[in-house]
Amino acid sequence: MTCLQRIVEIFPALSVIPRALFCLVLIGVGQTGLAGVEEDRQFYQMLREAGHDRLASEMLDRAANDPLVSEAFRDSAKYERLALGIAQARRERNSQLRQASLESLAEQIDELAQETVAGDQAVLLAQAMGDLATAMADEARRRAVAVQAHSSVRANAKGNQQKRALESARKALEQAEQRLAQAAIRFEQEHTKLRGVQPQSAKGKLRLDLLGRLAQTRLMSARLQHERAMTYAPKSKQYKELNQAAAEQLGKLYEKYNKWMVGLYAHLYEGKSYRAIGETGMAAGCFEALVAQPTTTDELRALVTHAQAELAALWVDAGDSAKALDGPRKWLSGLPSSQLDGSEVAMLRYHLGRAQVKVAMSLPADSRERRIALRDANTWLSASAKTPSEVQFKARLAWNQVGELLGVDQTKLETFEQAYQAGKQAIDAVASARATLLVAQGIGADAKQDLEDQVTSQRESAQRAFKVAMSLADSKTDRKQLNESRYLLAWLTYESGDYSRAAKMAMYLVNKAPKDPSAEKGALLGLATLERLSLANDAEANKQLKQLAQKSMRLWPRSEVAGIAISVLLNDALRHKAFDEAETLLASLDESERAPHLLRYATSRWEQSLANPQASAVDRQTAIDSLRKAFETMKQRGKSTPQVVTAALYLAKADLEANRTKQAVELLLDDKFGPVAKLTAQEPPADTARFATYAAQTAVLAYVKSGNEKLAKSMEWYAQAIEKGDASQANRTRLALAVELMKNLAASRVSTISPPVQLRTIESVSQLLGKVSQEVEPGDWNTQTWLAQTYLRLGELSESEAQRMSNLQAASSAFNQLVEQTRKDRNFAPTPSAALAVRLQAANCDLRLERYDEALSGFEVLLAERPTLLEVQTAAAETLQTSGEASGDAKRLEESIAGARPDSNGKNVIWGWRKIAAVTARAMASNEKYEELFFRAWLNVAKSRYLVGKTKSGASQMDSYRKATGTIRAMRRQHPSLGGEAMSAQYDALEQKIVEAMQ
Amino acid sequence: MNSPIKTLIHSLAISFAILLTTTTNAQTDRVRTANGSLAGKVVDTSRESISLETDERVETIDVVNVIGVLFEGEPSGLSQARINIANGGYRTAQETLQETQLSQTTNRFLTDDFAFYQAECEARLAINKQTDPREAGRQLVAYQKKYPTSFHYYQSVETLGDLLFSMDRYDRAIQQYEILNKAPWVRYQSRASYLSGLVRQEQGSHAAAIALFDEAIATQGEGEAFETQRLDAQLAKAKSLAETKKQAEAIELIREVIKAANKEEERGQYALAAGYNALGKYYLAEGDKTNAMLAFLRVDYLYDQSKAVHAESLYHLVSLWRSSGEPETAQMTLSKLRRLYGGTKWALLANGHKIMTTF
Repeated sequence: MTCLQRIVEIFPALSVIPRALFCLVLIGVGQTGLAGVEEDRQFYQMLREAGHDRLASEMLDRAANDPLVSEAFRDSAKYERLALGIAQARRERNSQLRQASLESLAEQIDELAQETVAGDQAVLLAQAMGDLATAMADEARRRAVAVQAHSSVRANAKGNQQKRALESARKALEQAEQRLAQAAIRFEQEHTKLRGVQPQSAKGKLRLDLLGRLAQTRLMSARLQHERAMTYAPKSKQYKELNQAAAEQLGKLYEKYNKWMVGLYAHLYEGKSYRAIGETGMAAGCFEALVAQPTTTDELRALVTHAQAELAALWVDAGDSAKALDGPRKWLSGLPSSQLDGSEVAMLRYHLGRAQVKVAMSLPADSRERRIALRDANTWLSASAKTPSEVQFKARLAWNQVGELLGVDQTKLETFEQAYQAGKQAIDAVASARATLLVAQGIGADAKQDLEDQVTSQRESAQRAFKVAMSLADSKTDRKQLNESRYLLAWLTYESGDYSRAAKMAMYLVNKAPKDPSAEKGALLGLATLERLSLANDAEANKQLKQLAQKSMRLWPRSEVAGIAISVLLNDALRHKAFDEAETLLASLDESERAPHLLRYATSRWEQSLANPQASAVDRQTAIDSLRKAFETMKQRGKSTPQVVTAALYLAKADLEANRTKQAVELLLDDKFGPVAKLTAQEPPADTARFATYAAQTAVLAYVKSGNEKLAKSMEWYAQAIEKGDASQANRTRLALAVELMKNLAASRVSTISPPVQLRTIESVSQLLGKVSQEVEPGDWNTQTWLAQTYLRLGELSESEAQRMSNLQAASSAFNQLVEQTRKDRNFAPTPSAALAVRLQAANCDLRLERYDEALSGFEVLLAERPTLLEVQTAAAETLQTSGEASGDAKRLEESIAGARPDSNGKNVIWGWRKIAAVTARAMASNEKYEELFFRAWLNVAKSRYLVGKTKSGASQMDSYRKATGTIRAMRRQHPSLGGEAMSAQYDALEQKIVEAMQ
Repeated sequence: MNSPIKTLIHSLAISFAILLTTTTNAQTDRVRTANGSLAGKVVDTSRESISLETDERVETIDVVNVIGVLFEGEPSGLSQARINIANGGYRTAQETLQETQLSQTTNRFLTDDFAFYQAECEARLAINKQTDPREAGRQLVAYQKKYPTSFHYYQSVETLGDLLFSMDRYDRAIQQYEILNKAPWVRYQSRASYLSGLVRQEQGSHAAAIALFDEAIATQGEGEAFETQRLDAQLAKAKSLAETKKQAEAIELIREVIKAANKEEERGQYALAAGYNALGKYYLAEGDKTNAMLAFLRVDYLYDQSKAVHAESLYHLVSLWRSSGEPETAQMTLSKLRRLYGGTKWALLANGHKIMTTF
């Protein structure tokens, strides 16, 4: 089949859902025709065609390292990835994520477009550009249609929100047009390169394929111009000019491609553009030319239906409702039933409905004729409102308005049948108004209120009608309809907030007519209502809930209601920690229905085990094993429910804790059941802040441990999840994660934590601390000290100098802040020792930052208060020594031996090594723990003397060296063991150094 | 046309018809070999050859070259059973043979052939745990005793070895393969090495297994059967290498098989299918389900000509789809396996039967 034949076949099918018109056109064309499709690509395409996009993506990922994959495929992998990415982006339901994906893909394509490529790669690039342009065009058009639809709810174009939306839609349309133009150039270039090839050859087919793509791209581009015009006010200059230009461009395309479907559609949109600017004659010419086409195929019939809808719209706008109703109505009645569900028919019905409303409103109020005309309009509009099309939103609004005009006139309800039908109609109207509300984002508050009022008013009408129906029922009344009325009345009562009454009505239905189809729905309603009451601690409702659930399980085994009944009973048992009851219930279930409930139960038990710090390791293991088993069973069933995803998350977390990182990452990233997929798509259960936070937190932990690139954005997800949640808990949540991450680092002292893990942990914790420190409360001693301490720890562990300095500075600043607060408020620190510790750490930070003077000042303040703090004295002596060595300052080195910073009595506040040695010499007589410091102090005396020597020359240098060796030898004489092997070795090493220096 | 000429033409036609009839009667059995088929009358058989009498002479055809023999006047059930057996449909073949009467034939070669296929079906079903292995063993041994000079002898030896192997009687299985090793053709000797290697592999004696596979690989010989056997030995060796923590060598060997395959040739297609299957199994053993799936899917999508290999790939895909949470795809794959290869051990395995997967 040639490309053009395909287009002829595919194009009209797409017009069934005009939104998809752009998006699917190229799919059928695929990538056939590429010269000599080799096996890897063939296999890849087969994977895509079979819907295995995940595997296709994996194949692309692995191609680079797979020696079995051909070079040609490896080279084309980046283009294939783009095509795959575009296809996946199109399937994304969340519009923000969809747009973000397309933008990212656009950047990648732009980069590739800068490169010089030829052959298959050039074709693949052109195809990717075409796919992207198509996707962006579709996206832009979707936005434009939405804005137009909502602006028609109420003339609110002056509103800022509306203005912004219009501008944004226009910009998107312009960008899409540019993309289409770029793609068209590429297609044309590639097409030209293949001039002269044999039509039946692979290259000939490729050439035809490119020609088809080119035609499509041009049509889309012209259509977008029309769409852009429609975003302006109808009287504006731009509206007219753009529509005029679009019409002319589309006219040219019709001339060029009038034997192909693509050309006929160009003519249709040409007519639409003319209709928009009031060129009724020109527009009618286009539409009438199309309706005169032979309708030999379904595709052509769909096109003609579309044209008939446009004709009807044209005549309604021109005020000729009779003409609008004439031809199009005949066409509609002649359509085969198989074609009545399409979007073209929905559009036709909408315009017929509009025409009929106009006819009705021209008839005398309260006349029978008007009512009949309104009912006809109601029939068309209700059918249109229920079918997806570009006018669905408008059809819903129009249907609601007609419904209000018709109303429920109780005086006319003389039989049960009349009342029943009136009630049903009102319920349909309620549903329609709700659906309109649901999609009508961005409409003005008044319009929203109108729709909400419609819901209330139609609901009340329905309630009234069903109450009348009840009163008119007798023994001859159809039982099925009567029971349905009972159910609907119960539902309406529930909707109005009278739960007790709704529950009674539902239970009445279940008890009186258990075999009636409405009873099952009644049971569902009853369960929902009673559970609601039960959760509000209504003991009687709880009792009734259990009875109804058990009865539902008996009456409708293995049905939806039975499933819900089981859930209700299970939830109740779990809520009351009645595990025996829950297990008995589970044991009573059929194998086929047990799995989801078992998962629910296992999840709950695991949650309880997590919440119970007393739970034994064995109990925990049993709980997680049960959860894993239940999860695997559900996974094999293939259905991804929020419950299954939650279980996957718990299992991933447990795997992480047990150091099964690979398994945890696999679970998190599972396309179907993994929490990450749900998190990025913001789909249930990740649409709740609690789940999202937990999932993102687990993803962060997994990323830190695994470094898996697919989790690289986990910290962003975490930030987004926190934003969604309770702001008052945000910092606490961040702290919890930071603490958990720090556990990795704590472990790193003794275990084999790898440098990359350490690096990622430090980066993640730093980011968290940054946020926490911004929001930490000033009086929160614990959090502030933890923050400062953690920064210090990060600084100590950081491999990179920049990271180390940044964390140490943060730590220093945090400790100094604490010192400052302690100074201002003596009660700020919980104990005096805590305040001293903070000062010490502040000085410690200065030392590490090589701010020696600040460090010494810090020590001095501390020692002035508590001179016998040996640890501080040692740190101060070390600081003097280090700073003296670094700057070659002999005086400072001498001070490290003899002390510094005299107080008002001339006594050195900082003792220096010699005094430390003297003090420890006394202390070690009664306590061995001072022995190590004693030897270390003398070693440092010798070391400082040696360092002093290094700053000098000649005789004075030799003198210093001799003093140093003298100290060592004296120590060796007096204490031959020198405090043990390790310390002795240090003495030896220093002596060796000095001896070498002396030679 | 005058009458003398007419008479002459008529008599010539009759002579030709007689000649034709005579020739046809003399060449009713057909021996299929890798190079074509020979028509004639089977007049004698030994363990090593078939003697086929043609118009001109008695041809001696080595058993190693024989694919099968079609006997004149053989019941259609026997012909059908041979086809079923070739496709792994032993149950169907057995049922067909049970319904088939040999009706007082005096052709001992035909009764030999029939008896062999009966015993073969019983044994293969027993290997697949569908019948009693001891009874199957008894039948095979009885067959060998009754037809000691059958051209199916070595086939029956191999089957007996396989049966013993499936019963975990490894040494007895090796003894049978030793008999196969004594056949006068290198292909049989090479096959004996390969099969013995499989036994050693199953026993966990991978060094011994690798040595035997190497023997099979090193054996010189040409022809499709030979190539297939060498390839099977290479892939089996890869498995043993992987089992002995020589993953890099194992995967390299599998890749070599795949790279060397000429996809334009039938045996190249087999090599690709078997190679990718081996690759899939390698990845399965390594716990890399995605790569395993990609390998098996290649067999399913691109190299499905070799039935046994394709069936195996489908079998693995069923469980892989299941464990990846794609029950519908798993079900579709299972249906395909049942539809295309319902009687094979892979379909039986997929249906939950516990049988040996080595053969």
